Amino acid sequence: MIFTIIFYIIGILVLVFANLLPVWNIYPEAMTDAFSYFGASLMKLNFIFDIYTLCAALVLVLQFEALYMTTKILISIIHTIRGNKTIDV
Amino acid sequence: MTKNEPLKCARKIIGVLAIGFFLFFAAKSVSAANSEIIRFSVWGTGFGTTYDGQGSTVNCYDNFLNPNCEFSVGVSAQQFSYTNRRAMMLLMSVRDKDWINSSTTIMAYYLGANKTTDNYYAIGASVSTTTISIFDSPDYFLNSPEKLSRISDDYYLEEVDKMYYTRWRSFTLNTAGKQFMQDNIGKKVIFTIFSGYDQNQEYIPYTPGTATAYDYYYEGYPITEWQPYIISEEIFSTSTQGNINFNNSSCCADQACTIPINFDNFLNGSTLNWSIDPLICNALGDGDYSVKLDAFNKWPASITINPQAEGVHTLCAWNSGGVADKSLYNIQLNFYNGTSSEYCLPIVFETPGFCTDEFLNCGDFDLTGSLWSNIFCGIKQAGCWLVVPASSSISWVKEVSPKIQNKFPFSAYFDLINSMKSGLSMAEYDDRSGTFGLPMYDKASSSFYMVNVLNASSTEKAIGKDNAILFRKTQTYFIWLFASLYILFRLAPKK
Repeated sequence: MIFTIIFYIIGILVLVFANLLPVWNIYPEAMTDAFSYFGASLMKLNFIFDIYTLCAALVLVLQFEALYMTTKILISIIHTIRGNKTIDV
Repeated sequence: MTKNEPLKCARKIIGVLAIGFFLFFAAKSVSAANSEIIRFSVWGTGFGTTYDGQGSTVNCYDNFLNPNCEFSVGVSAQQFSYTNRRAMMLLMSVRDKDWINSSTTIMAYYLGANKTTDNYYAIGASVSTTTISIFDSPDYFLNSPEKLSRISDDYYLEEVDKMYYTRWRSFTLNTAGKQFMQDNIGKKVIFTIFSGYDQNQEYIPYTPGTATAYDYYYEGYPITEWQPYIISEEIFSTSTQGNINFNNSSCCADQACTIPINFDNFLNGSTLNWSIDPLICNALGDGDYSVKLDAFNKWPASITINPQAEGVHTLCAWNSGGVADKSLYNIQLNFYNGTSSEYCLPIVFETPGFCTDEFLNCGDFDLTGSLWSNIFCGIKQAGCWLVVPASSSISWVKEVSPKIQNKFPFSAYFDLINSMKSGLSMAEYDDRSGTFGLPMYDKASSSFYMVNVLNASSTEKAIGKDNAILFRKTQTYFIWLFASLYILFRLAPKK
């Protein structure tokens, strides 16, 4: 029940944010195209090197970094609220 | 503006960003937890490659979000040697990657149907009279709805067009009168819907032997791919009292079937009996399996049924007096009537877990029963009611989470990742058909051309097939080693 309510609240908040936040494409289309082309070109080397596993490892590292940095930021925010004068990340 | 106002403003901004990050990762984690899928594809075989009835071993790679896997495909000569009959190989999609293990079985079915005029397609396989064709990837069928229109002779989905967002789409799942498996057990169809930003899975239960209409509503980004799979719960167990856990395994017709089981707080001195008759749980059974449990075989053990027969088997527990004590599991082994040693079926079972029906099944409230049992049962039920979210709420978060992915600042991540993903998926993820060439100059035509110096078979030719596979595996190990080392050093405290 508790998490049911929490999930519904999260869903409502996400909806609210989704309606409030602007749709900005901060990357030019040429850049995303370049990434797409780069990915396709990269995969052509899969026969000699395991690009697929490399991608999986990179995704893992990126996800770790995102969570790790988020955690550090949250902790530093808590420390700031508790009296630290600076935000040390 | 006072001296502290910039700091307060910064705190507010950081606070909003932190909430945003939290919401994003919460939604992402919920979404990820529900979208895990492993797709097989055959590595090293080109489209249309056929196996002429000899045993062949192929490797598989799943999508890059999941670890690599391997499996072997055994195709025996007699299995597909019937003319004018169809055989198909159904590459299974599974929900849980932990389910993949050495005993994971690719189901190869021999269909008794005599179809010579219709042109049917199966996911991951093509059918001919004497051979079975293995496509290099089920992805071949993506964006080809006409090829997805028939999954097998017996189960098919109506032909659909590529779907777009904010549209109702109705599917009709039909089962023909003729079934290649005994159709008295539960089956499900799993849809994997890929959009530009997410992938969803929808499970469609249906009553075998009937047509089931299913309305699917997707509001989000244009659906770029979709794949239907049939998940056949060929062998399943239902438990009334969950003290035995079956480990993943598979059973083959006409072969000994070993099912590893864990005994947990099982009745000491009880006799575990394996009976073929679901309605009779007596000491005689069919004699397939009978063992007396004691304190020494309480923990992981295995039961072997040899030979197992098609039908419902009941695992019974006996007390020392030889009187049926309780019927624990019904395990249904269903094989195609024309049994062959090649027909192996995975055991699909529901493991008793936290807050499952089995966990909560502690009987009706009984004033004459044990007070502690009643209290414990109440605590379990109240606790699960309190902390376990309803599936509808998880679905709700999963449904709304894609809406925020193209909004700033989340678009900064998803735009980049999705463009990269689309590029990676443009090439087959198991594609080994690429070549490495050097530019050369042709004097006659005064033009450059590429001389291929390396291709997929170069490594095998140089160091042999086994070494090439070893080389490939070693690459994988090193990649993960470096990734783990990076994370370890990142977490190491700074001096």
